[in-house]
Amino acid sequence: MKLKIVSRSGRPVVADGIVVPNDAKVSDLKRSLHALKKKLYPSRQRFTTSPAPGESRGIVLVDDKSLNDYGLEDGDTIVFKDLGPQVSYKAVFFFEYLGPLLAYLPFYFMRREIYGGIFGIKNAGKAPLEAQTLAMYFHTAHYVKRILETFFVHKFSHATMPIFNLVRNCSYYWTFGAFMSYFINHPAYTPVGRTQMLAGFAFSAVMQLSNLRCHVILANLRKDGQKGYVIPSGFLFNYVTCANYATEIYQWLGFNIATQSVMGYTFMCCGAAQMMQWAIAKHARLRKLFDGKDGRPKFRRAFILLPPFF
Amino acid sequence: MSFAKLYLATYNASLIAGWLSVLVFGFSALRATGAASVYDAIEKPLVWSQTAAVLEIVHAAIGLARSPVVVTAMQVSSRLMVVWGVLILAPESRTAKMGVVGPLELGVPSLILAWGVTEVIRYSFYFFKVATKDGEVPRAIVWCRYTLFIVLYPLGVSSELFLAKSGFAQLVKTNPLALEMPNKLNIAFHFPTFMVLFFLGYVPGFPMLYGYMLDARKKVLGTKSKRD
Repeated sequence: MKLKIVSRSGRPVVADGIVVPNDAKVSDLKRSLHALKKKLYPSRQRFTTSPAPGESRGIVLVDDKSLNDYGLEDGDTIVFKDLGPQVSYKAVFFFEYLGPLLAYLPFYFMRREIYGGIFGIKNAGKAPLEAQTLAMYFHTAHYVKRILETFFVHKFSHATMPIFNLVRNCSYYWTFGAFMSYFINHPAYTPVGRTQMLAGFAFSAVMQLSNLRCHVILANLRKDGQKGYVIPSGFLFNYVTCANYATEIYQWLGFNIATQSVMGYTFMCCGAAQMMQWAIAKHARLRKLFDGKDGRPKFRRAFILLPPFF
Repeated sequence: MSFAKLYLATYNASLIAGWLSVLVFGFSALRATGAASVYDAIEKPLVWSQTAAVLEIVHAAIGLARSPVVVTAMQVSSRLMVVWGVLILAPESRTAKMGVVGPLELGVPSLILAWGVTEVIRYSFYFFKVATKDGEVPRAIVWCRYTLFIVLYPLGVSSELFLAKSGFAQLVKTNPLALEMPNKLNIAFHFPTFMVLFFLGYVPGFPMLYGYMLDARKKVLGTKSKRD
């Protein structure tokens, strides 16, 4: 069948439309367009059906569904949007986590050069405190864990995201990493009491391990080939909708209890605010999808994100 | 008229008055006694009008106005940085000037020209939006709001950066608002460093906001002319 393809302003994207087999999937359509327009590789294409009368936008066509599923027939028009240059999730995660890992370390290992040489602070060459050494190990372990998870645990439901996100996320993580490190490794850094420090790091360690367990659970949510939403369950997910975020936030809380810096707490709050938005959206989506009617399971959780508060 | 609309109309009308007085006092001082006297003539209305803009972030945040919160916060905070951080904390910047081309000189006069005209038009735009029955804004104001920024925004930004540069040495010397380590919260604050980092934010920020305005221009002026 032949489909007319127009942009959102109504201009034709391909002059004579595109011919695809009658049983073609959306992904086949994307490959056909890519063959005609080299620049538009499949992951930067998005198709929607023509908006129904009175509606402002149509339905997004999902890759592994067939065009017939959307009732498309020969001569129909669909709307195309160029999502812009894409970059893989894995690459974004890798670079945004590599940055803070690397930005943190020079302040610890090159104390004399950075604090003494660049900032002109006295006593810059003195040996790091126990708290500073442990903080360096914990911070590094945290991001090494994230990078390893990116390659060996996480399953991404989307392959790519717009390239702007790479720039945005990297600036966020790299800048915070450097600023936290500057204050925590500072020659005039004031440590907390030893008991508080050890308790904080211990809590952080337990939360990091729990976070890993949460990520493994999420990665195994769906059986091979299964698509769509599933209620996460087991371990902390039985009590908290987004246990993965909760453990992440509490991991930083432990780190901050141990290291006590305004910058560290600020980083935690910024992250928590973002995760709060995602968690509220996810909680709402799961509640709507799993309403307990028509044989669907009913979704219930005591907490959305931060037990025992929220 | 609802209470919210009445409030917004009053707010916008007051700020039109505030920025008009900045322009009028500023330019009569410029003609009477020269550029160096402009700041003293406008300090009060400038500081008040610009500081009042903090309310715009509140308006956006509580849904009273439809502007995006983040963009509004970016705009307002950069203005406050220039007023409070540069002009107030570094008085040497108030009389600084630098010729660019012909009669165009960067300094307080170019700053208030760019800011004042932009704000009078912008607040008039909002005023008509809330004060008229069907929110109809005179075409000339719409056109000005979405056109003059093309020149005024770069003029404003270059004036801001020039004034910041002019006041910088004084800020380093006086080091206002300083907070030094060691302290229990492990935080330090060095205002000149903060200011440099802040204005570095203009590198991604300026093209972003300029692009945002250009898009808005295309949306507002483009579709209208098609319909006409």
